[in-house]
Amino acid sequence: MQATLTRRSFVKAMAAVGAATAVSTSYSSALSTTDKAWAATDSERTMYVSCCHGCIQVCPCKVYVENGVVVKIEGHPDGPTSQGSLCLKGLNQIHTCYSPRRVLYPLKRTGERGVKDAKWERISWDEAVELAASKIFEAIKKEGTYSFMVSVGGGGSYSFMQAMTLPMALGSPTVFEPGCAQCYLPRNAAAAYMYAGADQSIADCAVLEPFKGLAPKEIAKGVKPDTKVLVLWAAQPSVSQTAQSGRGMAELRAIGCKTIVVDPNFSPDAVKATIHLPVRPGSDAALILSWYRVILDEELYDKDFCRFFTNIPFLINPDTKLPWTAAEVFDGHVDPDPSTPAYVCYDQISKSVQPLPYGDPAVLKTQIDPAVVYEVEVKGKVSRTAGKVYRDEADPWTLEKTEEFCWVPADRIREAIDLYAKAEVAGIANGVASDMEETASQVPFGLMGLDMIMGYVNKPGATLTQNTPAAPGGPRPTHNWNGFSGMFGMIFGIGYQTGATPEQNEARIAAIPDEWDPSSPVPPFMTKTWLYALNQLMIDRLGMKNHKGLYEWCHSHIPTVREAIETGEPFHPRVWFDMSGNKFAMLGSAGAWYNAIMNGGVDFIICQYPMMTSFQIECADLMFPMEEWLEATGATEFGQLNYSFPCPGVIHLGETVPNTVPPQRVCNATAALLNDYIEQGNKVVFGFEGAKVGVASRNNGSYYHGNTIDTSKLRFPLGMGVMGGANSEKESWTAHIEKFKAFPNLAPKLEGVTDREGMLKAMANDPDFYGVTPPDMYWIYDQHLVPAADGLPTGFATESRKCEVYVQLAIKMGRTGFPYCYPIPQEAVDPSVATFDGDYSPICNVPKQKEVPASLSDPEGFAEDPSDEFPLALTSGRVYYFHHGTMRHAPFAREIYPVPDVRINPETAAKYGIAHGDWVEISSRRTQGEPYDPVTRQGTKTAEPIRGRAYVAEVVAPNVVWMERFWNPECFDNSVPAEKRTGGWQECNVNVITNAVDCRFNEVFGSYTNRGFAVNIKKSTKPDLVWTEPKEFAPFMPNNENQYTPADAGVAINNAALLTPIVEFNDPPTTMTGGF
Amino acid sequence: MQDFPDSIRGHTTQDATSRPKAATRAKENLHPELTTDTGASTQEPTHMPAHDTPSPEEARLDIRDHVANSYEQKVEHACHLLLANPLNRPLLYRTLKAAATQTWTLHELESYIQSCPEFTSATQPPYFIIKWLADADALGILEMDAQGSVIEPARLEGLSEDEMDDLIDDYSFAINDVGRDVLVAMEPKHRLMELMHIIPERYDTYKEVLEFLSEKRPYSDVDKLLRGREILMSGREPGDHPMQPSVFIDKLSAAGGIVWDDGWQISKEGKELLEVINEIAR
Repeated sequence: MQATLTRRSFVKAMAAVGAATAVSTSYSSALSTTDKAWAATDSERTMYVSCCHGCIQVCPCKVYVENGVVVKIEGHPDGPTSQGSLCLKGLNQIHTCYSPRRVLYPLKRTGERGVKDAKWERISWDEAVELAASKIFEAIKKEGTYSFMVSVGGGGSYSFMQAMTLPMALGSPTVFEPGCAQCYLPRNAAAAYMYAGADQSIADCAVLEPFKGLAPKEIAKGVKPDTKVLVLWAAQPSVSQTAQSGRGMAELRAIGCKTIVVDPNFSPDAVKATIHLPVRPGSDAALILSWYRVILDEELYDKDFCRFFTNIPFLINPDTKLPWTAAEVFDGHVDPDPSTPAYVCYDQISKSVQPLPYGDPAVLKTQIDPAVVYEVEVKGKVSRTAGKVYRDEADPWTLEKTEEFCWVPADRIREAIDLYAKAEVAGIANGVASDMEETASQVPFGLMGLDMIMGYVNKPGATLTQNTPAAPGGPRPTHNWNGFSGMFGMIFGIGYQTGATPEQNEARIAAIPDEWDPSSPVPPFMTKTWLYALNQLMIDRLGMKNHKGLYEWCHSHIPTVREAIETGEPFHPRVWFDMSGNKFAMLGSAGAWYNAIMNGGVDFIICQYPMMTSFQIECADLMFPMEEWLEATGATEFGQLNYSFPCPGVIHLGETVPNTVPPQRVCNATAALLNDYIEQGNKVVFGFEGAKVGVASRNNGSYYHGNTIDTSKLRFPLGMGVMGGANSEKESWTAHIEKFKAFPNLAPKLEGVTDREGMLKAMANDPDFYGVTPPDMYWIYDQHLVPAADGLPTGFATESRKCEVYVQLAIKMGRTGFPYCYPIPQEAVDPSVATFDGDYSPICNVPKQKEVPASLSDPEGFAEDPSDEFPLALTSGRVYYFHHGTMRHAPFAREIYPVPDVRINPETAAKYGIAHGDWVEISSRRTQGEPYDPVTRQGTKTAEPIRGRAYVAEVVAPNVVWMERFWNPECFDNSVPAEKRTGGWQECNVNVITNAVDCRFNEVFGSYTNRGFAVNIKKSTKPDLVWTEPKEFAPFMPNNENQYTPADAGVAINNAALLTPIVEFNDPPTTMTGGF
Repeated sequence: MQDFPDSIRGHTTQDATSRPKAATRAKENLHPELTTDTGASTQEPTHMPAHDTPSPEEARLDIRDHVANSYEQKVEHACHLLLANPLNRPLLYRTLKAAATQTWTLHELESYIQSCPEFTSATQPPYFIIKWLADADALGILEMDAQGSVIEPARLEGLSEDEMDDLIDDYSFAINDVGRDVLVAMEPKHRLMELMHIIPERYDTYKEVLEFLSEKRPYSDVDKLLRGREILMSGREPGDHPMQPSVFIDKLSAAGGIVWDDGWQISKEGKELLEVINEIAR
């Protein structure tokens, strides 16, 4: 052999001798022949059907467990939309669950607040619950029940009802979620106001019709896709939920569906769209009005549906801004149906103003032809139809003007309108972007209104479809307005019931007993004492006077909560229980929140989450350890279209628990302390006891005016206590098993199964362990046409029984809080907040925008504060790798996407001298100028500029930059010297520069501005502590040895922790004292 | 509303040259990031004096690199310690106040802290309260020998670690200049005065609540006193809901005018301020 090997000689040598021998001539004798490697013992691998909860779409999957360790996750091929796909988030769930940075035991802070001195000690569950309860109890003793608040949201450890009901149970009105008004509430509530049906969100699984009939198994059953034209407005399914709706969109396009994508970002959906409209961020309302202008002028709308199933032909009283009723106009008119007033229209047959009752279109159209766009005198007042109101609002928005304002070519807008309006059927899916701007109500009102005037409702191929049948001969549909559309009865207070008459509503209230009678079957919380207390809580909820749409989810207005913390007025939330996520990465103007807390605004912060994020490390005082979905001890299941998949926990780590446990335990412990205090003769001050002060006239907004209700009898927990999970694990599994037993294919498999162990045994290695609702019971249409008991088409659960394109409920809501604030009204919205001449706008309009880049060519009338200093518009969106604030600890995800991109168009990048891959600094008014003073509300600066890495390509329009939320856990990692650590939320977090301080909040929902605001950029350098290279993420890699971190972080140790038993809590069920 | 005399509003100044130099000593096993003060000062809190630029030695020996080394920034950091930890703030302040009057052994100071009514609301045991203040350079740590004498740095020179450990028998704590300036900055009388002046129409109500709490009362009594009054609309927009009566309690306690000890009661500083106000009114 040669002394040195060339490649050629090595190959020759390989041919002549065995590989091992050939290698050994060039290497040392370290390598030697050996037997093939075998494991010492066999291992058994078990597969369970489950659902990946890496994001909210929850794709069905298969989880493989070996020796108590999850070793593999893959998509379930039978998912009818995902069809076996699993996205990068799903593929990184193992790293997320086993992250060496998991918090697996309750922890108490021992260092001062702030990341530099963050030190923790591990404590027992009993001590942790006792500590939390004692601090809440103390705060309530000191300042009453309004001194406590709860929050949730930010991705991961999803809680909702727990967060909603915990403060109520302790007499507090304050709860918020960074999503809510900034994510889904506006679209969800708009649908409730306009037709009481499903909304236009794909991500939240309201829009399902486009994904029908795509999977082979469904096709084999004869299910066919009907969606031919789909508008993705401000939505990016391919990015947000790649495996499910992203996959579904790909399948849909492959079979020829045409798409129109309205998005400033060149997402994969946009790139593959039939027509892409790269709208300027924040200008969607104008674009929507341009569509109305064309559709109304050219009468492209569905005439029958518009005339008889929408309120667009109703004549509007110019004084009240509400539709004229026939009873108001025609003396002696009696409504045939007292639950549905007849309104008034201009009849094109008789050429006169006529009553327009609700009825069967087949009959009505022979009698009356309501004009859609018209103006006529009614009782001496020039009154326009709702259609004319819309047309007038849309008048300025010619295609040319829209091109100038929205940065979209006029001919392309026209092409899109034609494709949408001239299709046999089409539908709009409205994504989250619109929820994050001033136009959070206007955009969904406009987009839902478009589908309604086109008649794209309850039809195959539309997006406004429902999956539940209307029963023939059923009652006139009704809708309850007391939080979440009344789905929980009256536990969130009394509200009006649309579809019932005023007399029926009054009778419903009258029937509620004043006090609880223990001998009656009525639950203790169904009394006026408690329900009025709940209504008072609603009204006292911070920010509700001006943003009454928040009543739909019973949430507080986040910036107003922050102001209460900053100023202590009108009350001071002093103890905070946060149930999820990295609030500093998720809340707008994060610096203002940090300052509010670190300036002593909050006494004690309790958190629960699977790991430390910036928020916990900087300011949590107590931390409860949460399960990841792979550990779920409670029984859960999720659906994908008409398929139901179980989601069992298959492993357990440390002392983690489901998200219901800490709120329930803390609530019960606090309640015990409070009740004991009361029994000793002390008085707990309920914040809702306040009588109205200084108002000379009506009893506005106070259920306790005169303080006649005796709260001394109330006991804790109030109302239903904490909801959101079964009171015991046993209960949840029993109900879960019964649900799956109802599926014929699963009943035999679940014979004799009564608990979790039995369920897991039954499921083991069975890929078919899921249930399917037959297609004909799921894909249902024309529910509004089904004859009701009164012989008329069922219609919709609105006041008019029609689709209310002119959102008449919005007018009433702004003035009195109706239908939520019933029976006692609330003060009207401040006229300076409302955009419809002092009222909430019932239609899409273009409100003023607070921060408009100077590059906008026509700022007059719309720009409050055009900015030369900040000439670019920032928008945001999702990335494939993370959901909200989750998974920044997942090393493989970070390897691919270590730091956030700042997407810049090449033309804009060239102007700023920025090349692809350069670090850039982004600034906004939140990082410049005078410091924000919460007392005087002067100044704008709350933090320093942020940074990201430039991604220069034709992926956004010129003068637009794009960046998603981000935070960097490596900045406070144990591997970084203590003195250098930061909270990791200021370096690359776009929510530092968003505007929740002095923006123009959306009038109805109070949404602040996360997108469409003005920024500036310049070249910069990498932040010191931020990791970018794959090797740097090694500390986050789970392995056999590193389930250990230094003692002062209190994280679990060694492999044995992987097989920890489930923590058992044998608390009694929450006692429904109802306060008595 | 009265004008306050200089004894409350004004401050005396101290000659910067008479301020003892800070001597520093690192102790890995107890307080690795402390500065020590060679002389316990019993002077009352004074206005923040002008401070010379730290000498190279002082700068080098300031171990907390992540806190900027200037004196002013140390004071700011120490004030921030109190601000950012509201449940512990009254106790932190009380501890500094005690340390300004005498030198305390660790045990004595822990016992004192436990006896304070403010301890019931704190989130940390006494040891951490002391440690936080020492870590923030607001409290000086003194090394004591078995005879109870302070060990001057000169006595430690040339000794090995083991010899030092043998010599040092205990630790004592005393306030240092940073701590004194924190006491001045966080002085309740000044904060109370500012509070009562900032919205003039609330002045009388603050005074009334202070007087009402001359005896310990539950919050419900204060709620009953103020509920329904017009003053609860001060600063509110027409049509807004009134403030909760707790706002007055909240602000008075944040300013140090009242303390919680299973009931609200006027603090020592609150009493002193009331006396001055009433004296002026006479």
